[in-house]
Amino acid sequence: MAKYIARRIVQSIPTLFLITVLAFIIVSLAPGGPTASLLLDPNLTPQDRVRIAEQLGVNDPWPIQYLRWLIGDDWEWRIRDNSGEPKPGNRLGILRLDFGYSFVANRRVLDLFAERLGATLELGISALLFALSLGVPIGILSAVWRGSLFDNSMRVLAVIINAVPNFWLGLMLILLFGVIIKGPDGKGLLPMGSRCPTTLETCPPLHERLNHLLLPMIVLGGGGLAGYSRYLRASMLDVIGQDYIRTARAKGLKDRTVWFAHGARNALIPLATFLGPAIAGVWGGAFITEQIFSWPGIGRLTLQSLTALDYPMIMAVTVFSAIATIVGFIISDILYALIDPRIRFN
Amino acid sequence: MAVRANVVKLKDEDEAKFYAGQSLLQLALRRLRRDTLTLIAMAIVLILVLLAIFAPVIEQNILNVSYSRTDPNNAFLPPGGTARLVYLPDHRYRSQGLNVVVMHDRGAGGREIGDAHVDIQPRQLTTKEGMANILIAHASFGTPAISVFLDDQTRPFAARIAQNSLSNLLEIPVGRHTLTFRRGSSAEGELLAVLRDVEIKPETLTTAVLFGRLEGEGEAALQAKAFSINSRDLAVDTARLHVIHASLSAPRAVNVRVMDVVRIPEIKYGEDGSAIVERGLFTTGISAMDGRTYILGTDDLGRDHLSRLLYAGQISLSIAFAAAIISIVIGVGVGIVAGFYGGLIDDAVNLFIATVSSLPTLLILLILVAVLNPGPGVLVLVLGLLGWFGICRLVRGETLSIRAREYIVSARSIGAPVSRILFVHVLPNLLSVVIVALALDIGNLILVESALSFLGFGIKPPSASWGNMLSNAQTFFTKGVHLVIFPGLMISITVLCLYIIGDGLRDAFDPTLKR
Repeated sequence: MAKYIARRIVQSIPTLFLITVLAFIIVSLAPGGPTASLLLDPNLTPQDRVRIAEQLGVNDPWPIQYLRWLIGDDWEWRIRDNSGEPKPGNRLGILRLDFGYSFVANRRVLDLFAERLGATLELGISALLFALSLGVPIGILSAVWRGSLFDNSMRVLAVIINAVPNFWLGLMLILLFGVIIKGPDGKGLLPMGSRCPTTLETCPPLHERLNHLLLPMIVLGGGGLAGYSRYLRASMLDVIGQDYIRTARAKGLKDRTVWFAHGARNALIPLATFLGPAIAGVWGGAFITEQIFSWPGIGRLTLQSLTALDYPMIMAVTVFSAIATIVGFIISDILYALIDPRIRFN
Repeated sequence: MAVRANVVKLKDEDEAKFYAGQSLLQLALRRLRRDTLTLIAMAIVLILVLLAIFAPVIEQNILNVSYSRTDPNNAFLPPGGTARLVYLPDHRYRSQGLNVVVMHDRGAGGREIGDAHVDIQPRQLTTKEGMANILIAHASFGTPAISVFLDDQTRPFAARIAQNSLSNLLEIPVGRHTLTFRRGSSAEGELLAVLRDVEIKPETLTTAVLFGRLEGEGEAALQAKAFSINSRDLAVDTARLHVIHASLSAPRAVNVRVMDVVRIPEIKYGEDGSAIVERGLFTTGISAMDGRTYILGTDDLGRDHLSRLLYAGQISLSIAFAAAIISIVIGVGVGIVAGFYGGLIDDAVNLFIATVSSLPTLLILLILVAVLNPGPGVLVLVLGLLGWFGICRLVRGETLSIRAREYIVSARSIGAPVSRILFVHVLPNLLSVVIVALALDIGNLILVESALSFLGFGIKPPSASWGNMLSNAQTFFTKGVHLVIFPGLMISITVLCLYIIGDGLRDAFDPTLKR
């Protein structure tokens, strides 16, 4: 087991490495280089510009710049101070968890991330739970009542959910529940955005937070809901065609027992492999959902950084997303192997 | 066609006779002709494509409008073109301070409304401790100065309340008060309105609004309503004169967002001239100012919404089609090579796809598009170059299975060159996979492009795409509901049709897959 996990982690290192190269190359493609926005500051004198360019090392070949980003430059006695004496750099590199400073906020990238992580986790986890808790029963029931009105309408609904852009779905839900349908206080039934009421300084009561969470959760979880229900329906139909189900029927078990005790339990197993793609899906959807609902999470932070071309942030987001997805895939593989004894750890 | 019908598993003998001797493509077409849903979807897509192609002709000759003509007077015209909205330029709102919108009719009565005037005056508010700001706004032409009497006092608390002005910002003690409004500045002046039990809270802005007919008599002639404004509290049941938003005056001021500001009540006038206020659009009961008909109304700049939708379709569809073709060409090429040769090439392709797939596609696209800031041409390239992974996997898998079939083995055994095997034996058999993937891919690309444009990174204004039209519309939300609904509907219908076509084609090419 430990060996298996270790091997999976080792296997993912080349992928991560390639991702860092990719992130670096994309950012280097920027017109004028990634630091153009810093160097174009009209308040800087030409000497300042030369000094900053030297400090950042933007004139060095890109493999060296990449290495500095990766492992830092504190081992390099490269930068000269005012007296001309060389001194070590102060970057530790991303391998030592130093993602540098945000150009815009002028704060450590990691700190900015840590601040926003809670909001994104709250939204992401609740969206996943929402998708699972509705998608799994719908999938199972669709398989049980195969060909029925319920099954067909759920399949149509799943196609429609996939075809409707989630940003539009979000806007329409805001319009419906935030404007058209009134709550008892004459305002919209649900708030139109943000994570919690803006005027409160202390932690707001749970129902307020749930009110704010509801619409973004539905929008973010909608795609997963459609995916899970279709996937589970197919998985259920696979299982139900197998021999042991026929055996269970033959020995006279009730239909309900066969479907739910024998069928559903085994049909649920492949769901473990869905964790990795689900994390990637939720993460990808978070950009749009957080933007529509003014949700103060990492997705919104990323969009702000992209608009402002805040390169340290952009590179860090790329690396973090890759880590999150890869970890998701590893965990789902391990889970799958743990749940299903037919899978061996080699 | 190289493949004959016997490749497909058939259900019974009759069907076998029916299909005998026909190529895979003929069979697929035959099945497709019976699939009404797919045919309808195809017809809709065809209509959309034709509409997009002929957008300029339709715009000039049928709609008789211009997609680029802006006219603030026609802003936010809803479908039907019988109503006009008040245009509130958004940049004039301040995040802190006071945003007051006063609308008043030109005549004294309610019925003959000719125009609506909007006045927005931002101002920083400062308050002493224990005091609160109050804004009194009234707007009827020809009104003499009004005085406010606090509780039962005989001396006016404030005299000469000017129309529509922010100098009416009074600091009054916190607590419950009765506000009496009279003409002139003496306690004997004509009673205009009384507001009882107005609660003045600290750190809030209480607004008293006077509205109604001034030439009437007594207390009922001029109605008054007071309301305290918190961050998002905008609702008033009846108001002709309306304060839209004012933020808190204290340091804990909340931000006023444009979304809040655009909640304007719709005003209609009943038979007796009384105002009926509904949520939604602010109508003044007149048709488009220039006498044209705007079938789907106009947007915030007074541009015709329908012709913009057609032009947006032109851009969205052509970008999706072009990018889909690029990604199909790359995906099929790489997939065939990887699947046919296997070995090191296959491993390299797999590693590359696995690497790139460990990031959400939207993130990579966003980063590339934000960094490169491309025009439509480069956007197509970027979308195409990042969209081939799925097709490549499909084609690779299919090629792997085709490679092992007898006719490939025999072609090899008689010494056919690799190029002949690939183009004559493998490629035609991939046709069904590719056509299905193309339909689904175009749908997905429309979604991706509109998401990028919605987030402000894809197609940028003034070019219209369905995504950036939505992005623009979300700012005006309640004022122009039609601006939010139609672009989204267009995207959804197009993508849905393409998905249906994709599914229909898959069933037509390979009925064994149908569940």
